[in-house]
Amino acid sequence: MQYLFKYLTMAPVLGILIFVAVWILFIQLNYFFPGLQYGTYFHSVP
Amino acid sequence: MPTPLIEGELMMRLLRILFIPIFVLIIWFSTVSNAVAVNTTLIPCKDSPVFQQRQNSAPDNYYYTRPFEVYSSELLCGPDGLPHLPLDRLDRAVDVAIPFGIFFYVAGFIGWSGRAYLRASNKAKNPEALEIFISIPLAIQSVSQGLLWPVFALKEFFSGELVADDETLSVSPR
Repeated sequence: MQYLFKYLTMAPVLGILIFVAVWILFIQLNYFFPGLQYGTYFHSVP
Repeated sequence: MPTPLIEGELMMRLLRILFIPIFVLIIWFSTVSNAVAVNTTLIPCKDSPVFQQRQNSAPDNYYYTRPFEVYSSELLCGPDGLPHLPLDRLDRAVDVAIPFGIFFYVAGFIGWSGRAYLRASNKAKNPEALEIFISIPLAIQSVSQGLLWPVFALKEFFSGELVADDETLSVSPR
């Protein structure tokens, strides 16, 4: 288990994990706030 | 006893005292400032026929319908029927300022987190190992520092800690 943890904390592996996490986060943000674009920040979505 | 002024010197003083302000005033009031015209090429998207055509031909689903409704009510469209950012008026300045602010904060957050991690790992006894295998407690500490990066950056700027001294930088032989 500790070897797995050590492997997962290697810089390239951790980088890819964080990249995928941010990717999923942005997909979810687009799902909850569709049409969030320049000029629509302060206006509610109809 | 003060020496009497020569005529030329007197004239120069008079010029400085009198004529220069007069010239400045003449130039100030004689120039006509450019009229600031609002760009009328961009019209509200709901009034743009090309945009309406795009909206009507867009697929009817979650990712198109509601965004198109927002663009139609909030944004300005060009002759191509696509939303554009007007950069010539202040009442829409937030449209640029907010995305820029978000970008600036995120870029600073990434940079400051990395900097904090490297600075902290350099103080440890095995800096190289900490760069290959990321230490999770140290990373969390650095990332949480990165969240407040504007505060830390200002603090270090005023304390002179933000940039390294010239003597500490290695310079290649010239």
